[in-house]
This record gives sequence, structure tokens and C-alpha cells, in this order.
Amino acid sequence: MTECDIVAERVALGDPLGDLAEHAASCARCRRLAALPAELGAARSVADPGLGFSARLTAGAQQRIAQRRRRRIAGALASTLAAAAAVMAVVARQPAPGYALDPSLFPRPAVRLSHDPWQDPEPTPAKPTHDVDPDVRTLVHFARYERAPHAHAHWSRIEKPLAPYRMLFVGGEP
Amino acid sequence: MSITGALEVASRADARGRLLGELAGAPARKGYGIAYDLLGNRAEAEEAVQEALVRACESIGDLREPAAATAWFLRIVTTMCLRTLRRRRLRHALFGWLPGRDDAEPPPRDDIAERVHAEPEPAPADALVSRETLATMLRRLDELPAQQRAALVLRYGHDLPVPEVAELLGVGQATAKTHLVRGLARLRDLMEES
Repeated sequence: MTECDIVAERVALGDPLGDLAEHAASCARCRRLAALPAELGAARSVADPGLGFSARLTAGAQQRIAQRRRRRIAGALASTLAAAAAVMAVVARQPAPGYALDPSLFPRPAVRLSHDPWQDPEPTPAKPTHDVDPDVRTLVHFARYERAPHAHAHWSRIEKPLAPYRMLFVGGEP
Repeated sequence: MSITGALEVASRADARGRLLGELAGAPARKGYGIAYDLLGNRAEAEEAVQEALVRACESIGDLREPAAATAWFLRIVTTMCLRTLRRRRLRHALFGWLPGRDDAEPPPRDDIAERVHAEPEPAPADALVSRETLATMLRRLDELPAQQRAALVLRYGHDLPVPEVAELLGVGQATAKTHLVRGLARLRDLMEES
């Protein structure tokens, strides 16, 4: 830290220059800096805001406060309505039945069925077959959550007993 | 709404009205003085004080001590002024190069026009600073960063101690001291250039 820096700090904070007074008097830059606070003080303006300043200010502020309150209420109302509309859209949204039940859209499941799960829920050793129950296909389709917007089936539409599905959860072959 | 709730709302509105009435007097005039020295323009200074008054009334709940209402209000005024200065500089940086964009230029300094050109020339012995130096200094102050400029104006223009300057700027005392030291050094360099 040079002497000039220390002088600058003392001048800025209004501290006495002390032992650096000699340097401040001899250094042109320090002299210039030391004169600045007084010049800045002289630059202060006595600003008169004019007649009726307080009344003008109060009236303007009241008007702005009321205006902002109205705007805030309108904004809150609009965002509430938008949120309600979004919730309604999500709740009312259902997959199209034609899409869900169209067999051509379903991939062939990796599971090969050896028996009719509706007739015989318990698995029995049997020779492999390529027949796939459409319900299982639908179930597999629903299980592919990355394709379906709804990762679940509409349980209200399922009329058959759910016993065969249990096998899928426990890991066995239906 | 319950009776207690209604009373609370009514008392809040009443407190807001009282605060508005109190702040619009002497504190607003003091705030106007600070804003005018910081911004150099009457219209912008009044706008800053008005906006500060609105914000003070809207955030009346933040006021912990009613006795400190004036200091709290002046701090909001200073914040508004700093925001105006930053916006002014940003607008100039973004659109100043476009031809015909007069709004990108800062508004004219009323204080230079009023003090340097309109007032009668004081006798040389009475003049602490020549008009020319004063005008140059006011113009050079515009070139300082907003915080440094505000620190200098508050400390030397309004004779406020460093803790109060720090309080108004919303910074710590060490930061306020740094703004003062750097601002003075930068202002000296700018004055030497001109």
C-alpha cells in the first residue's frame, strides 16, 4: 500500500492525515483528492420540490396503491382461473378407447401364454403357444408407461376377475 | 370475514393512511433532496420519492420500529434512485448506439442548468468552487458506478456518517468505505482527464 493509497483512505473516511500530512501537501494527486470532499459538499443543491409537493405526493401515492391493488386482484383471479382450467383439463383427459383397444397398435408381448388364464388362473405346465390373450396384450400395453399418457388402466372398464393379472405381479407366467 | 379480521384490515388501512401522511411531509422533502442530488433531474427525483412512498405503504409490515420510519423511508428512496441510475445506464448501453433513440440518453441535469447557468455568479472570494469546476464535477459524477456515486453524494453532499451511508445503501460499513475510497479516487482521475 503506497502513501497515496493511505492518504486516499484517510481522506475518504474523514480521518486525520497525521504523519502523512506532509506527503499530502507535497503530492499533487493527493492534494487534488483531499480537495474533493469540500468540492462535493459545495455541489450539494438545496432542492425545493415546489408548492403542493406533499399533497401531490399523497394523491399520487394513493392513486398508485389503489391501481396496484386492483391489478393484483385481477392477476390473482386470472391465475386462479388458469390453474382451475389446467386441473380440469388434466382430470377430464382420458385416452381414446379406439386407440387403447386397437390390437394392431399393440406390440406382441414377450410373454408366451400356455393356457387360457380366464379358464384356469393357476398355471399348468403346457407346451408353448403363440396365442396371446387380448386382455394380457392390453395389460402389457398399459404397462408400457412411456407410451401411454395414463400409466394406469380404467378399472371401471375391467369386468373380468383380476386373478390372472396377479401372476404378472408375482413374476410367474400366466 | 370475522370481526377480528375486519378490525385488523381496518387498522392496517388506518396505519397505512397515517404512515402516508407522516412520510409525505418532512421525510419526503429530505428524500427529494437526496434523490435530486443523486439523479440530477427534478421529474425523476419526484418519481423516485413517489414510488418509495408507495412501496413504504405497501410494505408497512416490514417496519419493525415506527420511530425508524424516516430512515427506513430514506433507504427505500436511495434504493429507487440506484435502480433508476442502473436502468438509465443499461438503457444507454443497449440502445445508445441506435440513431434517433433520444430516450436512451440520460435526462438533462436540471441541477447544472439551475445552479451553474441561472444563479448569479458569486463574488470570487465567496465561491468555494468555480461554476466550471462544479459543472464538470456534476457531469463526471454521472460516469461513476451508481453505488460509488451515491456513497459520495450521501457522505460529502449530505454530511452523513459512514454507518448511515452504509444503512441507506443497504450494504455493510466496509463496503460503504470501499465505495467511498474508490469513488473519490475515480472522481479525481476523471476530473484530471477533463
